[in-house]
Amino acid sequence: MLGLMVLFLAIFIGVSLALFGDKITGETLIIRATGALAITMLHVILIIGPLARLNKKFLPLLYNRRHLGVTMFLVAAIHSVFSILQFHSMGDTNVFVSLFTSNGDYFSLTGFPFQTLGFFALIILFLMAATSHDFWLNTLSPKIWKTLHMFVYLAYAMLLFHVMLGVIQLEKSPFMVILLGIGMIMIIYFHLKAGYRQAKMGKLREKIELAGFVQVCTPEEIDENRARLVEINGQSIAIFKYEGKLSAINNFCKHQNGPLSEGKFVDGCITCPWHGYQYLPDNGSSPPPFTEKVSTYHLKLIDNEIWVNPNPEPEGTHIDAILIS
Amino acid sequence: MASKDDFYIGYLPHVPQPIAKLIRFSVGIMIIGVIIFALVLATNQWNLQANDFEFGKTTELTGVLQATPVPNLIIDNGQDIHGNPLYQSVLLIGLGKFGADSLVQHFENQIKTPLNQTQVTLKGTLIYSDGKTLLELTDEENAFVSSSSLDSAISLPPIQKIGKTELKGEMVDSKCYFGVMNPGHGKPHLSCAVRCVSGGIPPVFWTKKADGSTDYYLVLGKNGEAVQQEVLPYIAEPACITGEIMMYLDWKIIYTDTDNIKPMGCSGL
Amino acid sequence: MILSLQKRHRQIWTVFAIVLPVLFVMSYFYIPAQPINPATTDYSLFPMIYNEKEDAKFKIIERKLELEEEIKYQLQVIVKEPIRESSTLIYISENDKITDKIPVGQVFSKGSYTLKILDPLQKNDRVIFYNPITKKIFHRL
Repeated sequence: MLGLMVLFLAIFIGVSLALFGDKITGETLIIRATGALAITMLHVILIIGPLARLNKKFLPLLYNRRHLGVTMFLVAAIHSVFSILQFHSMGDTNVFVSLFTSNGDYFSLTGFPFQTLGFFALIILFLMAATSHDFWLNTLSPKIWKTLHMFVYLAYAMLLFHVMLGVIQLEKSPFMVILLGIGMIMIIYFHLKAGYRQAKMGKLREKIELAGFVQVCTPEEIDENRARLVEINGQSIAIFKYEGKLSAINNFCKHQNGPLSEGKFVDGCITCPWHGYQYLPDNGSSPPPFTEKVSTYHLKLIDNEIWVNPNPEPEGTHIDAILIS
Repeated sequence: MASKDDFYIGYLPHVPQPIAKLIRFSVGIMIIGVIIFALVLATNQWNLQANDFEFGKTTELTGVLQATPVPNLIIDNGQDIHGNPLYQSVLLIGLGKFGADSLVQHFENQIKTPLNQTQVTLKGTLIYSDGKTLLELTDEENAFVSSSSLDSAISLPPIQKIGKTELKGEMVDSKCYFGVMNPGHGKPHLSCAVRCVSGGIPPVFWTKKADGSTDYYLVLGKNGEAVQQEVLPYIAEPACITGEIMMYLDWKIIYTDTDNIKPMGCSGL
Repeated sequence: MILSLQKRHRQIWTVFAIVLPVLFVMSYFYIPAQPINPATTDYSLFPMIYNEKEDAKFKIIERKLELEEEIKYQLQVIVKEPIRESSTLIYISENDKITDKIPVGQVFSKGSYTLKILDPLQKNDRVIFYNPITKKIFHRL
């Protein structure tokens, strides 16, 4: 990744100097190179998530996303510091006051003070980078952490228009607009596709309920060492088939709420696709010395149909796996 | 899918072949993507100007200091073959985003004489673009090198009236536009231009003509007074300006007021 | 992502899918254009060309004006590209020794400048572009 970034900067700076070296100033070059790199990196970062959801083979990229995000924040920070110094410092007003007051066209689209968009996006990126360590994930709880990190979508929207209402108004190049447009369409498409696929996955064809149990599917419909996801009464349940047995645990990994139903039964444990956290299928607990625990659910097999009780047992409760005859 | 059973776990040393293959493929795609992005973004910088700011290099200029219409130094380049004086007006600018008015006043106190008809030598950093030259008094109070009274009064050509006209263009700050920043116009530079004009740097209205040439007009108030805060809302966006045009040495000046400056092209969105 | 966040995710991107493209297209097509002013000089009005030469940066047109009993010569200097010098004086000389010569005039921004000359240019004469601030000749034509 670092190699790619260096390659990007080398090409951008090299080509800029070769074509406009007699005109472009050092500050402009730094501001433009880091801005261009940051927006390119943001596209890669935002595509990785849904891509890994749609095709499991992209999961290794997910492991690199956090580093990429922190690095992108640093690149954007360089862009911001230079821009603030270049455009606002050594003047008659405090730089931050100037940032918000030098352009007052807040009610205009094309006149909108685009620098403020960059400023707020940078704050989001900063909060994400600052809380990127697992310490914060545990401290804030995965739900709050993930919610905070979903603000990256807002940051993307702001940065898209930071570019569109900023440099694009001067360098009206249609090529840059087309590139940004393609990026926007791809990001929206993949996120929607992954999102709606997710919603469809846990849906039952029809809800047949009997004595607190809900009919799901036949064991043949689940691949060996894999799971079927069902969503009933707000519960997201992963039913795993392994070693001729069936077990059901809560779908959400305790680490980052990764989808365990998209994981695999490896070495006697259900393994999360996101970062490889593991849980024993019959009690939803991580093998010692780890302490993560998820809820478990009761299953029944009647006439080769799997039935699940959507009322969760307390996290880590042992429930005997049911045998597929 | 034959590789349905492949599963990647980050902490395991071995990566299943098909996954490794796809990742190598996507890294390849990313390299190509990076090259395309970098090339497109780098080659589409069309609005850089042929500007110069001799950053780090100071030059001493000798000329007649003038506080009006804006602080400037008149350089006497002798006479042409017909005996006409060859003057060039170099605008004086302060350090950072400030004008030179207070510095000029400071020099005036220093030499204890009014500025007109006084020859001074000032040290600063040259800023120039397309035949317009400015001097940034980089050392501020210490930019004043020496002064001497003139042997004979210089006869400035009178400020020449050209007439009332309407111009379409963009108001910017003279310091950045003529060299300190590149580009020194347009929306990305708006905040900086606002800061500069607010700090007393003379605003300039630049206009493009159909033959591809560019005209520059110093913007002053109806009575020749400096306009700074009042023009801030019109900076760095297409505008239409009506006023009296005058010629001061090699500079054109437009005398106007805010009633005669109309933002245009900003379709109200 | 837990169910509520999944739902939030879908809502965000559904809204984005509508709002972002609309604003994107609008923000491109409503960019205010730099207005163009009519050109003021029509060079075709001066047809009496006596001599002319040009390169990438400048064009020199020498004109002979026969006015009443007097013949006058004009040198039209067209600055084709912005000059990247702090000051420009024009001399006519057959060599670079211009210190004892009198300039014929000065030029500034891109555009056309008409300078009066006393005699027509001689065969070996060149137009010298001199910067009096740096005291250097930066162009010859």
